[in-house]
Amino acid sequence: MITAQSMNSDGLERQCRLFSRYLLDREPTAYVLSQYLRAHQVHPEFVNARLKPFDEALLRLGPGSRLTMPMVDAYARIFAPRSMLRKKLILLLAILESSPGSFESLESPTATSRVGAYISLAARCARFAGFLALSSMVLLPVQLVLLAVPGRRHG
Amino acid sequence: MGRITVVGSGASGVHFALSLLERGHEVQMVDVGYDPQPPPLLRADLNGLKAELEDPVEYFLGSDFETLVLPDEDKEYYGFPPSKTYVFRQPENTDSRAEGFSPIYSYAKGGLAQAWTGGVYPFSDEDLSEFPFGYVDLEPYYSEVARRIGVCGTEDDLARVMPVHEHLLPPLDLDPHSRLLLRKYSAQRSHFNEKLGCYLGRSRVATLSEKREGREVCDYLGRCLWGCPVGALYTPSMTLEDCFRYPQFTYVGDSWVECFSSNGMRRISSITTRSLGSGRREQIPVETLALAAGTLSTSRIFLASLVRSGTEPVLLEGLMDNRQVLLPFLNLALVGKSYSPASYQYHQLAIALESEGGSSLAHGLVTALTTAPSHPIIATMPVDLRTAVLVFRDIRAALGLVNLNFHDYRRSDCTISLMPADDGRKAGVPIISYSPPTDEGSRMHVALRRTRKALRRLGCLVPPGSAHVRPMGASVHYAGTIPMSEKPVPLTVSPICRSHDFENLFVVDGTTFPFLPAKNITFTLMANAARIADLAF
Repeated sequence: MITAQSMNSDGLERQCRLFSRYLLDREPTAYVLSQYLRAHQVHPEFVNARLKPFDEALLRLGPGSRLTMPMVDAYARIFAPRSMLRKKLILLLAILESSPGSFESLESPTATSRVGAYISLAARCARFAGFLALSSMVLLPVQLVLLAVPGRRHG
Repeated sequence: MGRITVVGSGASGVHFALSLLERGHEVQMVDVGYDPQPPPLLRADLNGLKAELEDPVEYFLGSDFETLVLPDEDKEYYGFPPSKTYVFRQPENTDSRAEGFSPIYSYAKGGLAQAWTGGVYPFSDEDLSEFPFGYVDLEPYYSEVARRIGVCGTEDDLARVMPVHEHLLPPLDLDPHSRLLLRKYSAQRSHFNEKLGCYLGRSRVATLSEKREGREVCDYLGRCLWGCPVGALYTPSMTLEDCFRYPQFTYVGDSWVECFSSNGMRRISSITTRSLGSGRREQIPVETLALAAGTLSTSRIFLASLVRSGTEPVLLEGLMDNRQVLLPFLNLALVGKSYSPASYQYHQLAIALESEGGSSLAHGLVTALTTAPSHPIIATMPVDLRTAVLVFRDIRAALGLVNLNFHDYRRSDCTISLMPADDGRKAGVPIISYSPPTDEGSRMHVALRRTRKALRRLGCLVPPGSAHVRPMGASVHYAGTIPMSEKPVPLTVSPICRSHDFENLFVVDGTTFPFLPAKNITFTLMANAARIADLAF
């Protein structure tokens, strides 16, 4: 079980590193790490938040590997958009866009032309659809089963 | 006439006070007066702040991450940053209850317009049709206020709905996105005007394109939302600073006005204030009182005063606000392009929609979202977050937002009243009740359909389901509860905004507006306040 008590700073640091690699293909700076930890101490959504069992499942499964992360995130975006996993990813994104050494990664286009951008967009949407289809086969039954289980405190 | 006591330091209060001071009157301003923090690194642009501030996350997200936007039902594309939280700070024991309305108050020096986006839109004769005066009567005051605050703009297609007054500064440099939209519109003007009843042109904004004493020209740092560091974007606290130059001006801060007291002969003799620091109450004698606390607070003070004088409980009718709808769009010609974050951040273009009969339907502000916080936009994309980040990078230069404003009119079911005083409080809690007009849905439907068509014609895509109807109260263009009336009936004011209930009371804010056009009212609040000071004193 992942709770406020069991997720210590080492666990949050590992989580932050994995999320940062997932979002921007880069290691977080010491400043980003410190801010991610601080948010878990001061923001009410992360301090003493009540976690539903499916939230816990997403937080366990997502950080498993580089393959599971986009699959779990794709599923969460559509079927659990207010899950703790999404909240943590958005928190880190907000920190990254405000921090030296990472905000630049959100500034420049990935494509070199308009046509290239449209091709990339189509490819990325197809990839997302694939991840969503795969993850739905596994996670939809899990979510339905866990709907009946009461939640726990999380920090 | 003696000393004039002004309650509130918002857009109306400071221009009313300055006009009086210029005429040699003695002015006392009573205000709560929360102060802002000074802006950091005055010469840094937006990315410079991220790179050079010691703790940029605290600056951009707040010490408690209070401006982090997490997934929520009530999505907003623009949140207020930590540097503006002082504008909305709510003192203890000043709460209200509301139904169908999300009230926003400000107790900051300069009031709500400390957080405005600088839109300056004079009312036309059509807008003023229910006012006891026309544009020609207000024009000298629009010009005077424009001289004071610095307004840039030009005479273009929007002049048909935004009359042109004196003292306009040259417009700001257009960002590439806005320039492209305007060029496409100009190439197809007749289609937009004749088929869609749509007019596009330059926004008028209270931002300097020419240097003024104590303020610098806009240098395109991209920091408008976080607070202009060089004073190019006007805020009412600047006019308050001008008031302090007059020896006959006194400012009484940390004073929340509970009510006024009358002597039984329709004359106000004093106001009761409460210090928010110590809680101590004080009676301040007044000779002439001007309420400029904003419609909600002015209404509360007025009602509490009636209750105190033993009048039967009353309610004020006719509360108005502009409904706003946010419509994000993607300019397909700019997908994959790079952008510069060092640019003017607020709206540079405005749009006017006319109904088939030629009357005003809606007014919109067009903003290129280049320097808006990214994470709220990325989080709304219907894909996983990594994909959303990559897509966002390719479409960032192409993102834009239209903020459509709709008019409102006085109705008897939109009211402000007071709960009976309890909990040992001397003043009751305001109760606000609002119901939208019955024709609102059809007007919004027509305006959104036409705006989508116009955007398509400009080469832009509006993502399906992305229109966001903001809750009533969000635009903070409140007005209408003690309207101007040429007939001396109770709970109204004369055309020069002297109360018909108390002979030495003036109401100089939006409370007196008998109609609310589909426009930002701040410029008209300032001009009307200057008009009252000129005609009544």
